[in-house]
Amino acid sequence: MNENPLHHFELHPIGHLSLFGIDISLNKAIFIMWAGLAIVFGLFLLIRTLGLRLVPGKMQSIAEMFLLFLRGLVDDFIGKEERKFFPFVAALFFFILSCNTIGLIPGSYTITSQLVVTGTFAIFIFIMTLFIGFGRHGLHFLGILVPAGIPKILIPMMIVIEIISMLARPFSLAVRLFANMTAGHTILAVLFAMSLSLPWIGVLPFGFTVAINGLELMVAFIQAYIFTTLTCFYIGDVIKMH
Amino acid sequence: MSGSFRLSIPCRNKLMSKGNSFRQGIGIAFRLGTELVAATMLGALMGYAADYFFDTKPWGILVGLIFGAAAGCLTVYRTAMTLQFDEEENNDPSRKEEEKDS
Repeated sequence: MNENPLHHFELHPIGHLSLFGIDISLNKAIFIMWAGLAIVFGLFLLIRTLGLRLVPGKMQSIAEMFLLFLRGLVDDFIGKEERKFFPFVAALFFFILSCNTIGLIPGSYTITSQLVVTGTFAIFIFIMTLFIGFGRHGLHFLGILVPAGIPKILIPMMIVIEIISMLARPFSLAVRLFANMTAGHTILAVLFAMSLSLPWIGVLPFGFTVAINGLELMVAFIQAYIFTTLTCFYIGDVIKMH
Repeated sequence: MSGSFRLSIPCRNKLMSKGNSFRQGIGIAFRLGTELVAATMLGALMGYAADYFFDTKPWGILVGLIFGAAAGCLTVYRTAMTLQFDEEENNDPSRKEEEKDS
């Protein structure tokens, strides 16, 4: 047994589809993404059809806990009067969370371990913050590049530094989620390969995979949390301008 | 649509509660590590791109790396400052009373 631990990140198209000469073949990742969406939508639909009660049942309690928590994030980082961002933030959180956790099921795929997916999220959020910033403040938004109270000689240098730190935001957002998910799944794959290739002592790495799976579940939650926190922080930053 | 979803029970789960220090700490840890690296790498990449397009071989990446590192340090410094601010806010007794009221 000598398998490449990165083998399970490879994607191969299932069948062939093309639209106006553009290759739109489906692959595993797309189906898993749809499954993630369907699970979030289905669970909330289930809670809604079971009926909302004043004294909530199990499902409703969990949903309320998450939603209260996310509302707290929006209140803290963006502001109480800006609750219109709450649906976006909640959708982002639940989608990333479901995609991360689906990836832990053996045989499925972690779409957040693809830089394309996390990069798309991050670039979308970055462009959105630019739109919000210019929409709210007009050209005054460029003032975000000049921190208050610095000597005039330093201004040209600070603008370069601020531009880099501004552009590093989507970059770090994308890389953080991608790297954490990829690293965890690679460790799992390596341990599995070890447990299959070793004789009786292979029980040990197999035991570790169980433990690492628990850790990965925590990482899945924490990465979804960090991604949403930072999204809130960035949106709040362009609204409040420091 | 405010009446459609009744938010009735308080957060009982510890990890999801508002001032949970473990969750906040882990968030900060994951944030600081990548932000420093990301900004430095982005600066170096921009410098490399400048080298590639304007044929200024060694200088672009050097200056880019320095500016990137400066940007990374600045981001980390700012994050650390907000962290301290949060702690002070949490210890503020008036804020706790506010939370109880709401």
